[in-house]
Amino acid sequence: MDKKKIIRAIENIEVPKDKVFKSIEKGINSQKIKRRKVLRHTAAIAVILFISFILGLYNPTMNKVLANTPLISQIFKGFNDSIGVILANKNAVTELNQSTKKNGVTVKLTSAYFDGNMVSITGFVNNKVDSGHNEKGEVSFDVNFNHSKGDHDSWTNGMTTRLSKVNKGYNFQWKVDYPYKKIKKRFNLPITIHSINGIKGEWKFNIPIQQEKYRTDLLIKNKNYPKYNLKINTNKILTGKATSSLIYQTEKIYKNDDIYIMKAVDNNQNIYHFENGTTLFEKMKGNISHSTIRVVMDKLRADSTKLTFYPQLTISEPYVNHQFADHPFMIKSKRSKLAMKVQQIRRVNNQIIIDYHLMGFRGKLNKHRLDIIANNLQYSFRLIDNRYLNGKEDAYSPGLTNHSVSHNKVKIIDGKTISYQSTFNIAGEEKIENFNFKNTILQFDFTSFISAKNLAPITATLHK
Amino acid sequence: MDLHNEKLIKKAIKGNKNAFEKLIKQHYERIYRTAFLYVHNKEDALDVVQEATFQAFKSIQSLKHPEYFLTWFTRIIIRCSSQILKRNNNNIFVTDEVISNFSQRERFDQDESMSLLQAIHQLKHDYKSAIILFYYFDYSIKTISELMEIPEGTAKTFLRRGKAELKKIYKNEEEYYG
Repeated sequence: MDKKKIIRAIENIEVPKDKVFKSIEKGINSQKIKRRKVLRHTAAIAVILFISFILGLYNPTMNKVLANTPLISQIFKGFNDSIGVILANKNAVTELNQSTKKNGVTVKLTSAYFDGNMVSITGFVNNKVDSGHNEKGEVSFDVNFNHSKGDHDSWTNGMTTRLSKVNKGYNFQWKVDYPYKKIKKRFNLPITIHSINGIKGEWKFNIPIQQEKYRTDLLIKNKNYPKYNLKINTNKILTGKATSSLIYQTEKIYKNDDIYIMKAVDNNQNIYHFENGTTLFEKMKGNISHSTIRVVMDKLRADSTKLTFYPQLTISEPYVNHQFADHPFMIKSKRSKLAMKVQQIRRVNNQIIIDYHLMGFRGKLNKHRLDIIANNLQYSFRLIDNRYLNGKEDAYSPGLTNHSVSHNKVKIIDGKTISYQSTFNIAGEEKIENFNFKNTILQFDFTSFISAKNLAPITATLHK
Repeated sequence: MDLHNEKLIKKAIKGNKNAFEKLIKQHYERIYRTAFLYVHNKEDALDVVQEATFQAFKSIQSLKHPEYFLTWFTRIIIRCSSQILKRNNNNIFVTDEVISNFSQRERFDQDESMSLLQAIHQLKHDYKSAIILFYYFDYSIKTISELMEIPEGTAKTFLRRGKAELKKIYKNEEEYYG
């Protein structure tokens, strides 16, 4: 069977987003399934009825898109990009026709749009990429934007690539978050592809990006959370043609704390969902970390006058270090009541075995909870030769290769006392050369054991 | 799995409702479409989504390996779909609303997709699962065997037979729909 045909058929199944979201919310809130009134019909009719083969079948606006700009719409539809389809309908997608050929591989960029926070670029690459080192059907790009190099490219942070096989090659779509604070309405974006599927070359482009119209609504509200040494200041909402973006600032003492806006509800009880944010600015002023974040959300409705945001805080915890040789010893979390008592450490050949128990969890822990803790413990330790630590807090620094291990096997010893045993191999893929007790420290990260906190909601009035 | 998702999964495992909701909503299209492939109507597919979400939220604490979140949840969707199919005795339900909309809908040249989905619908349950997991989820034989809790050899057989049956039914469907 043709895989593409099957996927296309499946992806043509209309997804009623609102209803699916409602079902998910009901499922989480443990409501019983209410049966509906139904009529019985034949299977064949049901299939015809429920499958919307193209967007135009159920949405007149989409029909217009297909009539006006069929090619671009079809490309976005192929990538399941509803924002792209809407923008194509509003003639807000720039058609491109830039093509470059290197080492037999032709790359053609076909379109670009910029809406709110989101930049999309679509293109085509010919079948010649199949001669690269990837398996057939896979295409990977080594690409940089705006003359950046390697990983130091704010454009590629969080970039996603979608791919679809077409005649003689592949269509692709890159989606990136616009990385700068100030939104330029029009600019040219230089793009350099360094290699595709390992095939070297320099495919260079310079494409126009434009966002003619977007609306700015202010919603100034400062909320202080003294318990967590945190302030959140909502600032404004930018609304493009298909999406909106919230811009807010945070001030926090703990730089690595994460704040997520889980949802917002407007004065008409409409719910808005949020994507991952882009950090536009981050700076320490004294001991306070100041950040500005822009996060894409569902498009703000025109009749909204007030929004209530529901933020959540993930508490970060600095690593706790302790000398290995001092056991037994106790280490304590700085921002929670959690603690760990290390009872015994011993070496058996190349294995280091640590017996310990955890303290400070609320209530009695059932078997599932103990298993989860066991799972998280695998990621929470690191044994480090302290001669190579050199004041670095991050045990993953390159200088620690061959001088630290983190992988450990965890066994529950006694659930009642929350006692576990971790076994580390110090001569495996990770290793500690010339291991001895005296030079080794145990580093522990309590972060994953501390529950996220729902913060008090923030209600702000929109000033349009 | 990206770091953000791994974080979300870990938070969900720790019982964070919002993280769980966010995680499931990230995959809403795939979840709904998978359910639809089994139950073949919107209302039942929505019931599957609700039931699967409920069961997953109840049991996510048992998920030991965050990286297997999606495969684990897929297994729950398949199980819930089977339960709902059993409950309905495989009858297909259509709502009033959709029937009234039907006459307004136009027919395009999508008979091919329709035939194909109809053919998938007619496959035996195990063959259907193997086909969906292989083609739509792009899972390896190993993952399919783990997910269906069958030996790899059996997964291969289900897939081979599913493909053969699909070809046969699809051909007949195409002849029927012209």
